[in-house]
Amino acid sequence: MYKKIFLTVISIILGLVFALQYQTVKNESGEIITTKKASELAYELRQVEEEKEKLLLELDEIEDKLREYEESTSIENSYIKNLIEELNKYKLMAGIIDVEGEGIILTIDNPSADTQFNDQTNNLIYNYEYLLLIISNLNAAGAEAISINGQRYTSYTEIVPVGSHLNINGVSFVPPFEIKVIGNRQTLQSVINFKGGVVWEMQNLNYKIDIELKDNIKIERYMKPINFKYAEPINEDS
Amino acid sequence: MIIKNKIFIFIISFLVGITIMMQINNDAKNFTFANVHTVNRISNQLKTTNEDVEDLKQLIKIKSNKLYEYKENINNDKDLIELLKREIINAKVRAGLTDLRGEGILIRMNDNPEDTGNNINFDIVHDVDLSVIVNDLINAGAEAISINGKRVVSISEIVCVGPLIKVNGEGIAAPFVIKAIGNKENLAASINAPNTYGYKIKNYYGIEVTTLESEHILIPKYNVEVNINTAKPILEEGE
Repeated sequence: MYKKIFLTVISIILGLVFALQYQTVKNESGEIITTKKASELAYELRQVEEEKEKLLLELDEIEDKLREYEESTSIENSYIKNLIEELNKYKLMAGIIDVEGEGIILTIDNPSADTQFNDQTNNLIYNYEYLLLIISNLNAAGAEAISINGQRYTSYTEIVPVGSHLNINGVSFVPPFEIKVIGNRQTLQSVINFKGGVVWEMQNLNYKIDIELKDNIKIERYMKPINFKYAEPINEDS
Repeated sequence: MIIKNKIFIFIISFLVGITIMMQINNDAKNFTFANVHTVNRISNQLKTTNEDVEDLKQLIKIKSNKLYEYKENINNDKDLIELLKREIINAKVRAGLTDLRGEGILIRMNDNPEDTGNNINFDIVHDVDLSVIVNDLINAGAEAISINGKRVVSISEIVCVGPLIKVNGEGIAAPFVIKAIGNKENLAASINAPNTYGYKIKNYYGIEVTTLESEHILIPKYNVEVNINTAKPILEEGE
C-alpha cells in the first residue's frame, strides 16, 4: 500500500515535469523555428554578399576600361579632354564619382549612458534633424562633398529613422555617425565650432562630437542608379 | 507479479530517461543561439544587400552598354564627342543643373498668423522645418525639389539668417513654397499623413501647411555658379 502511494506520487511529479518541459519547449517553439530560419537566412546573406563583391569587381573592371578609352583619346584631342573634364565636374556634383581633397571628419555619438538617465529621448536616431542641420551648415560653409558612414550625401539622400536605426540611402545605421566633408578646412571648422550653432547646442546636450582636420579625405560615390520616372528635362541645350 | 511489476517500471523509467535526455539534448544543441531580434537583423541585412545587388546589376548593365558604345565609336572622334555630350547632359540632369517638369506637389508653408501668446519660436517656420520637409519628400521619392524657386541639391544649404532663410546663397522669406516632382500621392502623403512632420507642425503648432497636387510642376535648375576647388575626382583605382 505504502509503495503504491509512493509510486503514484512519483508518477504525478514525473507527469508534471513532462508537461512543464513540453510546455516550455512549445512556448519557445517560435524560437526553434527562428533558429532554423536564422541559419538559413545567414547562409543566404553570405551568398548574396559574395555576389555583391563579385558585381563590385565587375563594375570596377568595366569602369577601368571606360577610363582607358577616354584617356587614350583625350591625349590626342584637347576638345575631348575638356569635355571629359566637364563631365567629371558634373559627375562630382551629382555624387556619382569618388572624390578626394582636404576637409574635416566629424564623429557624432549619443551622450554616454550615465548622462542619459535611461532616457532615450536624446538618442540621435530620434533627433536626426541635427544631422540635417549639420549638413545644411556644412553646405553653407562651402562643403563640396559629404558622406555619412560611407554613404554619399546626394540630392536623393534621405535620412530617416526606421525602428531603432537611421536609414541613409536605404542602408541602416546606428550611432556613432562619421561625417566626412571635403572643402576648405578652416571655414568648415569655424562654422562647426560657431558658438550658439547646432554643434554647440548638441555639445550642451552632452552629445559627443569630435572634429578632425585632414589633408586628404576620400569620399565614395553614390552606388544606386537613379532613373527619373516623373521628371523630364526641359531645354537641354548645353 | 512483483517481478512483472518491476520489469514494467524498469521499462517505463528507461523510456522516460531517454525521452528526457532527448529533450534536453535538443534544447542545448540547436536551439539556443538565436532569437527574434537576430532573425530580424539578418533579414533586414539580407533585404538591403539584395537591393544593393539589384542596383549593381543595373549599374553594370548601364556601364556595359556605354562600354559597347565606346568600342563602336573609338575610331571616330566625332561620334565620341556626341557620346560625351550626351553623357554630360545626363550628368547635368542628375546634378540638378537642368530645368525639370513633371507631376508632383506644391506645398505652402507660412508662420502661424494667430496671436497664440506662446513662445514666438513655436509660431514661425524654421530652417529645420524646411530641412525635415525636404528630407521627407526625398524619402517619398521626390526627383527634384525647390524652395521659393531655389533648387535644392546636395550642396544646397537651408540655414537661418535672422528673419530670412538662406537657400543657395540667397535669402528667402515666408511664405515658403516648396515644389517637388514625383508620384504626387506619395509626396502629399509624406506631408499630410498623421504622424508625419508636416502633420505635426500643422496640427500642434498651427503652422500653415497646405499641399496642392498637380500634373505640371516646373522646377528650375540650380542656378549658382558651381565652383569646385577642393574636391578632385579619383580617376584611378590605384591602391
